[in-house]
Amino acid sequence: MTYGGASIKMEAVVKFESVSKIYHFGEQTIFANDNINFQIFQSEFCVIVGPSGAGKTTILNILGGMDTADKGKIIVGGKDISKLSPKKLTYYRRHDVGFVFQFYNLMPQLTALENVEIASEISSEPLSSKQVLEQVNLLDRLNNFPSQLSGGEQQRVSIARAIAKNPQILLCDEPTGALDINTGKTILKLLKSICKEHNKTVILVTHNNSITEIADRVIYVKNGKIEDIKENTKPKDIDEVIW
Amino acid sequence: MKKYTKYVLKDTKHLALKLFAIVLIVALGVSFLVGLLTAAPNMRYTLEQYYINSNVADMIVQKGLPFTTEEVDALAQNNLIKEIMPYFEAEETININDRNYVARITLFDFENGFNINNLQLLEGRFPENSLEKLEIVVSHSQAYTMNMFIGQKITFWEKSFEVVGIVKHPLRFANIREVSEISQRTIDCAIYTDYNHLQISGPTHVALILNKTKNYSFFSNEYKVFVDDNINELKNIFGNFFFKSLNQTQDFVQFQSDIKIVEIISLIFPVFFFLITILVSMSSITRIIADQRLQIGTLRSLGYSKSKIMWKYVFYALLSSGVGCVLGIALGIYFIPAIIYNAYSASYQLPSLIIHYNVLYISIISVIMVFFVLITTLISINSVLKQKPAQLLKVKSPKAGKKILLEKTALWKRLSFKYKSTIRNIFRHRQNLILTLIGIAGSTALLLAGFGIKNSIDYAGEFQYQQMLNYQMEIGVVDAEIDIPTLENIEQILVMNTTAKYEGNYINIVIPENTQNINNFISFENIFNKKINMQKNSVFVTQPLAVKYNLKSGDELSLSMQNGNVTVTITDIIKYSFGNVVYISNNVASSQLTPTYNKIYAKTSLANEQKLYDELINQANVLHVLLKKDLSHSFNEISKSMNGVVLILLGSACALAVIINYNLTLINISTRHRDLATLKVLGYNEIEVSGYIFRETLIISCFAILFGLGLGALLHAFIISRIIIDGIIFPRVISWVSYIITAILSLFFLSIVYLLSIPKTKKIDMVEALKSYD
Repeated sequence: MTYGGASIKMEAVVKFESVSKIYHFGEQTIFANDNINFQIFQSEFCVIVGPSGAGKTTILNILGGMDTADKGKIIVGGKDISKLSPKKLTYYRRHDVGFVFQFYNLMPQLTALENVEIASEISSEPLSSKQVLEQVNLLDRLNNFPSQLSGGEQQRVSIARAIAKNPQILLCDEPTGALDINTGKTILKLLKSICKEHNKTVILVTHNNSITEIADRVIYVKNGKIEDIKENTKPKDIDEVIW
Repeated sequence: MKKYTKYVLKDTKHLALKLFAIVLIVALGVSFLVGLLTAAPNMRYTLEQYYINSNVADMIVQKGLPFTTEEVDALAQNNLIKEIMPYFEAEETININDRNYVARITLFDFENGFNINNLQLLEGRFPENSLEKLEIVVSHSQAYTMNMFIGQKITFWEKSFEVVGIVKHPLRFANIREVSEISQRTIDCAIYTDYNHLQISGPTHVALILNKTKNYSFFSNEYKVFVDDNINELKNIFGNFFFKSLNQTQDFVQFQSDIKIVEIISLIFPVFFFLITILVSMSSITRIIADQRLQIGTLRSLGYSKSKIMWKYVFYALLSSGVGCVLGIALGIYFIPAIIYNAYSASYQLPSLIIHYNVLYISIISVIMVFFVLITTLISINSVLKQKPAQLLKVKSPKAGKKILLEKTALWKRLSFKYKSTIRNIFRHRQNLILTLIGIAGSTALLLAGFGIKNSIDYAGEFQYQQMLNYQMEIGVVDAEIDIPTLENIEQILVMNTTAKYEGNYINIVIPENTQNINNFISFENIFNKKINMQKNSVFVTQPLAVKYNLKSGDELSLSMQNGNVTVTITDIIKYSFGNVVYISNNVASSQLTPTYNKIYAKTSLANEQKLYDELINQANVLHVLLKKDLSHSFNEISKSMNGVVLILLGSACALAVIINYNLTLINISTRHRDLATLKVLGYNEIEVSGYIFRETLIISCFAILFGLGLGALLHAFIISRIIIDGIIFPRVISWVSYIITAILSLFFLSIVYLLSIPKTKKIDMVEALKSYD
């Protein structure tokens, strides 16, 4: 894709080409994703937004290698992941993507540090777990178990776990869904700084329209289809957003 | 209410698979319990029916001489006695194809038939009463050394007879060698023929049936007391008669001791099966209730009463345990007794097993099983209903992680990350830890006990017949006619082998001619496995005899023998498993009586054994020749039949091990569902994900196996100590091979379960599992 003279030639980091995901319930056929096309570029903060059941989480799951598409191509870093075997998909999840969930999904028997180590242990070029936790401002909570941490702190451990693998892209499914507004904002700030300061591509799924204001790119999803794609030339700072 | 009932029923369908696990474990438990506990009663019942159908005698009366007609009439008219049958019986040397054999010959009145101890015709026909043709029937061959067939010619009492039929005597149904009570010789065949064929001076035996006031079980103590009382009364009337009751007959004693072993071993199981069934059904029910927390909370918030919700789970408990009981009874009642009985079928000639519906046992087992499942359900539902509806509707947070004691040790730092996580998990889920420990340790213990019983039997035989006896042949000779030219160049020792009466029972006495030399033929060991030599003052008592009469070294022993009475002082109790024997040194014996030597122990090589045997058997003064395989014959029979019981023990231990392991792994997978999904998302592959669960099971199991081995050794010692049968004691020996095999088998079951559980972890859907907490 080429843009005007001044811009650099940019290759999309993520490319969805005519992707469909179909569920069959007896006679009934439901298109969770119906012919989805979009591109996301390096170091973008991209928000996928839509009402409940629109199919946005399905996009994220397919992109994260947790689910497979029935039709179409999903190209990540130049590789088509739609044709990967379950084993290759496992390695894709291991090395190429990091996940952040609404409910954190930390291992209850592991300390904060260990929860990060469990991910970095198996990846090829991990960052230092301690440094990552320092980055999310949890250096004093290293040896605490999840049950001893607040929701925001748990989500920060979860983010640390995702970035410790040093993946190209970070996938976040409603990361602020279970948090109060202020804690949510801190988390978003953290994600944005990771995106901008460490050149990661962050893709965030939410039903909360206010978050779209801080994104570089917004993909609107409704009824399994892409409704609109917008590029924000001047994304707002998180503190400016009212929700 | 109607809608609620509908909902309960609908949910039953939904939970069918989980409830089925309870059905299965209850069915397994009930089937083993019913089967094992009713096996012995059913076997006894089968023998009793066989006795009743053969009109078996309550006792047999003898007197050194033939009975007079008056004596027989007096017995017939006695009001204690219902029926009598006089007959003649003698031990004779017979000749078949110019060879001599020892036979027990019984003369009956075949013309009028038998009214007691009915002979059962297996083949051919009974002898016909004609003076021209001399016909006989012989006993089936399994219990005798001679293999007789219809048409065979036999010579005795200077007449030639022809075998016309093969029969079975009701008192001789065991395949054990019949040994003459008078001469201690092995009987080669049993012959039955008609009175008219021979001139006899009168009956030597009278079989009789007592007037019974009620239907006694032949095995009951009540029956024994009844018979003993009658014998005492009859002894007062007929002073010089000997009475031998049914439960003193060789085959009855053998059968009863075999059954006792079955009973002892099967009694070990109930405790264990109840425990396992409770554990497994408890964990299943707890899991179902935990899964339905939210549902219960919703119902409570809608205003449903506690009791109404409780009834739903009580219904599940009753349904699943009830179905399990019915299934278990159906499976266990025929199957398991039949397997055990079959194991014994090689040792006995008995009709096929009759299943007697022991309603009491069956109902007790079923009621207890249902009761335990119900109790665990009530405990578990109560702990949920105790909480407020609001609490139930909230997501139950995962159990918190904690630092464990081990983390304070230096070892912790050296553990790899995977193991740190595993070990913390072990202590986080204490209930699983305890369940696994008990379950695996228990099944390991059962396995080891099973192998151990086999070791004990084998070791007993190996010790007594291979290590202890250093001779290959026992030659029985006519009293004092010890001159056998064939044995000239063969290492041998003369002994006197006789029976003595001690406290009303017969025990074996062996007096060697040479005290020093006997140590070359028999390696004695005391019960502490220390080798001892026979010396001038030695009196050795075998362990079963010592245990039976509580004899210790230093005790005095008064024995009445054919050629006199002796009183000796016991010097040692010797290691010996089969037989009540007293070995008395020549010096001790000679001071009180003059020994009559009637046996030769001879050493020979395997190559010469048969040749020597053939030469010896035809010598006039040789009564019998016993090879080692003859000596160990009855031991081999016991060993064979116990193999069956041991197999059942091992089989059920294996089934238990797999069920327990599998169940616990399923619990583990379902409680760690979310952890496993997270690991998958993080890019852990299938092997690593199942390893997360399995490492934990493996570590606990290793400890459980070690613990189980210890427990198994105790269980084995307990079982062995409970097997108290006249003349038999098993050593408490477990081979180290058994320990290793048990551990390997336990680990093998673990790996089977691991393989079975891989598809389960594979099936975990990352997307579904991570969605939310419901």
